Amino acid sequence: MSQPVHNFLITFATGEGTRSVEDLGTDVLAAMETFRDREQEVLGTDVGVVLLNADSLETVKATHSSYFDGARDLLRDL
Amino acid sequence: MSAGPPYSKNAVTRAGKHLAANLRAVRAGERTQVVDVAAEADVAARDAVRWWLSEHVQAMLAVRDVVTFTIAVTLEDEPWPRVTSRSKRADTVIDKLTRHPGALAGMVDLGGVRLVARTQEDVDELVGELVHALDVRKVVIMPATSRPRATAPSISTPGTRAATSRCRRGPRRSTGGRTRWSRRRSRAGSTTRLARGARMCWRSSASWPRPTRCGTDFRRRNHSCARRWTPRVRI
Repeated sequence: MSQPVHNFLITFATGEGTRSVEDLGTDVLAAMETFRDREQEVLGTDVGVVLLNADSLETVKATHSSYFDGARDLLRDL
Repeated sequence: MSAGPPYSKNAVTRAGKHLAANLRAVRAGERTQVVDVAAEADVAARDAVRWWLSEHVQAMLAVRDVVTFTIAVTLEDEPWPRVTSRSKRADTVIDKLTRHPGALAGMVDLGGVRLVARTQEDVDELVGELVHALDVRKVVIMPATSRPRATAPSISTPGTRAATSRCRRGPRRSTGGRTRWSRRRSRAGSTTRLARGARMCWRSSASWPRPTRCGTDFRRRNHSCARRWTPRVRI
């Protein structure tokens, strides 16, 4: 019944928008380890990472559009 | 006999306070890093926080399964609703601890499930179903007076609470007259097993005019929580 849940790791930088989107596959715990390691790497910088679980990248774009359509930058300019 | 968890709640709370103090020191210019990999205490605290966050992943995904399943049976012909889940970042957890000092072991909002539906009516209907399916204690609607609006149900320990759920008095929720009674009646008495151990029991019967979640009081017609159809989730 359940669709496989993919893990998308989004890397973004303040002022630059989304830098990359990686599909880490369907192993949630392995993806979480990768996410925590990457999070540790960028700690203290202006780069951020977020791990989203969704069935497809289209779903991620629908639910977290601010990472993709530049809304973050527009809001910063307000 | 199974081994216990590697960290107690007190240890998790101490780790959170340790890293929060480090973050405050970084902001004050007294340190350069929140976690100094050469400092054993920092690494131990980081590992404890990471473990605590990872422990919530399965629960978050179980809630996600229930949300996905509820969409499938509530809006059967509607392909639009999209569901995403995410775990809170460790740095935002520590940052929150600096703004709101307290116990990390008691912090809520460590994971989230976001649902985007096509219309506000679909949102309202799904919220009405999820309130019972997930034993939701509180529903926050933001903002209260304008549309479209976001709805944030607050779920506490969905598995254990749902397994021993009792009726809680509260306002009845309207589903906007769009409920699919005939389909739900056909599922009455059946159990649907979801992924990750979640189980959804469909409780409805024409012989029970107003059954409720409360096992002892479901025959009372004037029960405040009376509903004709009540899903129950056990995780």
